[in-house]
Amino acid sequence: MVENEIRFSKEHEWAKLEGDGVFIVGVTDFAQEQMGDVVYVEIDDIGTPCKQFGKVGEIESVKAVSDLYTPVGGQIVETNDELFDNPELVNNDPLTNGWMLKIKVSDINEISNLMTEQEYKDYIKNL
Amino acid sequence: MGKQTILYKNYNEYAKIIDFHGWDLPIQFTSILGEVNSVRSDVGMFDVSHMGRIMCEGEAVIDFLNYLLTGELNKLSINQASYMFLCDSNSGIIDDLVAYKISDYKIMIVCNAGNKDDVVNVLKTHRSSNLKYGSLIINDFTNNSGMIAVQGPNSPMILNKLFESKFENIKRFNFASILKDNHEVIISRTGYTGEVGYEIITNLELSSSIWDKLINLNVTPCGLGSRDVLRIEAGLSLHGNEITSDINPYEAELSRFVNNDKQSVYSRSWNNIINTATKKMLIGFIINGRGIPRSNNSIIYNGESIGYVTSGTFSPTLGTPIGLGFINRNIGQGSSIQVDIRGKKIAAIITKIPFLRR
Repeated sequence: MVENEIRFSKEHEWAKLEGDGVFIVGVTDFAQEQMGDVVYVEIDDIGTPCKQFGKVGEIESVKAVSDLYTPVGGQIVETNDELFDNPELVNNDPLTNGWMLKIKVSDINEISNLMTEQEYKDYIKNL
Repeated sequence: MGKQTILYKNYNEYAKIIDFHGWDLPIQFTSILGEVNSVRSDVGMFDVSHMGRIMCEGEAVIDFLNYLLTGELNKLSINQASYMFLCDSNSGIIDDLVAYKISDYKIMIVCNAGNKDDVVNVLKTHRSSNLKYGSLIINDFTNNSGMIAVQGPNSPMILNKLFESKFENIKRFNFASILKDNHEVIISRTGYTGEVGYEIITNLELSSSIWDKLINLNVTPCGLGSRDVLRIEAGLSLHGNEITSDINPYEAELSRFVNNDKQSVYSRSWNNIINTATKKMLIGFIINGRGIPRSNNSIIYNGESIGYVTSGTFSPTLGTPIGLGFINRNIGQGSSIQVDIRGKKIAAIITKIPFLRR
């Protein structure tokens, strides 16, 4: 896997390799579309260890609360604090400015449990 | 697939459809918060064709409905409407509704979609209970008509463009019956948003063309999501949440809509209710933190659970989460409480309802 390569989970999160074993994680456009207007994002603290597909936070929209799961396991090394005051970034820009957190992966082989962009596109087409 | 209103085919491609009491209705067209803002600052419209519309007609119709409904229909003028309840003998709220006095012999009822069959059943049962009501006509014309709510500060201007006559002069809870293209149209100054607004009831064909004209006038189409946020901000009760057949109007702080100077199905129980200490009371609260209160969250006071949330949302107009709920004691406005939101106790303050006044 090379830098800027992106993978997707069935729970509609994406993980993009930033470099040095660190992945940027966020939710997909499909996910934000389903949730509607996001008003609060709560993410676990920096330093928290996490398992692949484990819960790392909550996203609250006007309609409902959704759990945020991480597509990769490891340790949280950064969170997007911008979302605290500007949660609408998740709706407006889910794949860039609306990113959620960065994770230093512990087992790079777990990436094979994720979908490529094309596989994810096919996956949501059938939902 | 559920029932569809006549306007279903007029929704744009972005409408997100959900099931609402058996109807396929849009929860949003673009974004819930955006639609709320349109109604608060400009003008929005809602397809409310799913709401029950029942025409009651006959010589004894006023007496007939006065026994069942909590309003006093004799006091209404022609072309005046009033918010009231259909209560059972325990004063439990079967439904909240608006009664429109079209003439001394003709009353139109607009009620909730989910309760319409119950309302019609109560009316028909009462009709068969007394010979003098036998000839009354009870006509559920929901499926033969459409209903559009146009709400927001610019709604008077839109109504004038739509009907080319002055409608901003209609007073609150009054209505006009007019002819447009030879079709009868009822335009009432009513709504469920806390803004100035109108509801337009007419036949299927004209409803559809009115919706399209409103789109051309740049009125924002709004869904059930924003309708719920708007009504919570305006402190308006929703049947199924704040009011149910287990809640009476006194507990829901809605006694002002109950007239007791007449013989009625609820009088006996109502006299008991207003003469005994209440077991629960409706409050509004503003959350002082992060987290949206949701139905059934526990309300805590001094470490003790004293009630539950009935409705909650994020209020874009106030920029904070707000909620409605019942508590089992009288603690005043300004009191500090907590709401248990998924295990986290979030601070809140009891606040007057409505949260905003226009």
